[in-house]
Amino acid sequence: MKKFLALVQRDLILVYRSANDAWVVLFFFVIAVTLFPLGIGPDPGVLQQLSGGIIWICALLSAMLSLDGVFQSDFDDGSLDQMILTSYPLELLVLGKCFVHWLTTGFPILLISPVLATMLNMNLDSYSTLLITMLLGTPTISLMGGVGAALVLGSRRSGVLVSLIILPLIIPILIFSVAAINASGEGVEISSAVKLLGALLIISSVFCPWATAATLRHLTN
Amino acid sequence: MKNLFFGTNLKVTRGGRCLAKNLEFKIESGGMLLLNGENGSGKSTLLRIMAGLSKPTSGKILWNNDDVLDNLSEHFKRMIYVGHSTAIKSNLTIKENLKYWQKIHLGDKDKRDQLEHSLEIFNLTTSSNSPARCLSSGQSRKLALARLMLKPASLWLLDEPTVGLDTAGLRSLITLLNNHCERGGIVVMASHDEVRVECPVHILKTDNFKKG
Repeated sequence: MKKFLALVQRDLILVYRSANDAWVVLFFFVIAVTLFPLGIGPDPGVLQQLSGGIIWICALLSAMLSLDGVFQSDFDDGSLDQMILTSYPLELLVLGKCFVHWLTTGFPILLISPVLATMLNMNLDSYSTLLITMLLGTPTISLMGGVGAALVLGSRRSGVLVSLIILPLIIPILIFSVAAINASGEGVEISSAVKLLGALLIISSVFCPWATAATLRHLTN
Repeated sequence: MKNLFFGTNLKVTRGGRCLAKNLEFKIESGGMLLLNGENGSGKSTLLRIMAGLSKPTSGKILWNNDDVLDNLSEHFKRMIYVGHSTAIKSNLTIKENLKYWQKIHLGDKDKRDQLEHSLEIFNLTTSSNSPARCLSSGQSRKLALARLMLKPASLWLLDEPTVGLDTAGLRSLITLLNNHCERGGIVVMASHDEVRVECPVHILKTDNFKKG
């Protein structure tokens, strides 16, 4: 556990000292959401109807921005070799890296999403659902994104490539989240969609670190 | 206890190109194996195979008759690998780099004496709180080598550790190597430079691989 914490602590310090990356994601999210009212007009009814979808699509796209960097610097400077050489399961270290990615991109997006929801005139009943879906969905993106980030290591234009690999895989998150948000606005039961999001999170937290670690091991071979 | 580190019938390929066939090496406690050969002759690849980072195309690497691939985590525990890349995070200070390395390999928090000692040996104490991005390439190499002091390991795998080192740094490295071998450790080192150590040195010419 100490090794896990050591990695998380180091990565958090590194993100803090080169804060640009984290801010870029957040600002991209805010700006992308802001573009929608400008593009489709200020009609509150239309915005309300689209608000869940807009926020979630922008969240997915902005999460893609930082994914390619999850393992890149460790790969470039040889830290990845040293991570493999610790007699500690690489899967857990990968989990630590995904956690840091979530904490520095997914979590800020989650925190600011209610503010943007206000701008899009989201139904008041949907706010809690938005937060729940964000809380379950954004970590899943970081976990699945880890697999993509490992797959594109060392390739050119890895940022675009990782989006092409990961975006189709996270469509279910988008579908269930937006369905839950819309349903809660109409006062319909949302538990099934939320349960499915939870299931996705559990499944990906078991399988994704394992797949990512296998990819990383293969890559350094 | 005497340890034996050896490889039998190794075949090494990289990028589809065969670098070595039927390669054998054997090294005992207190000895050093020097890999010597042209650039691109497979020294680093062989070191990565010895570290367990890569797999040989065929053949085995053994530690006291146990195949290291059967129990990699044991192998990782007994070994330190200092590769060509220094694994230094430029945004951390020198001390933070070493502390992280110590924690991730040992899980220990407070081994400050060792940390200070390793900084002293390579004359990095005065700059220990400055960010690693300010280091010259020689100093980065020293920082990477300072890790050798932080973890008790019987096997050291060093990929061109002398590159960029000044005379004092080279002297410190040689002292470390001598002490390690005296304690019964094993060193495998790839280097183009002449390193005068007191322990018995076996030389493996990697240029001859293909002929063998």
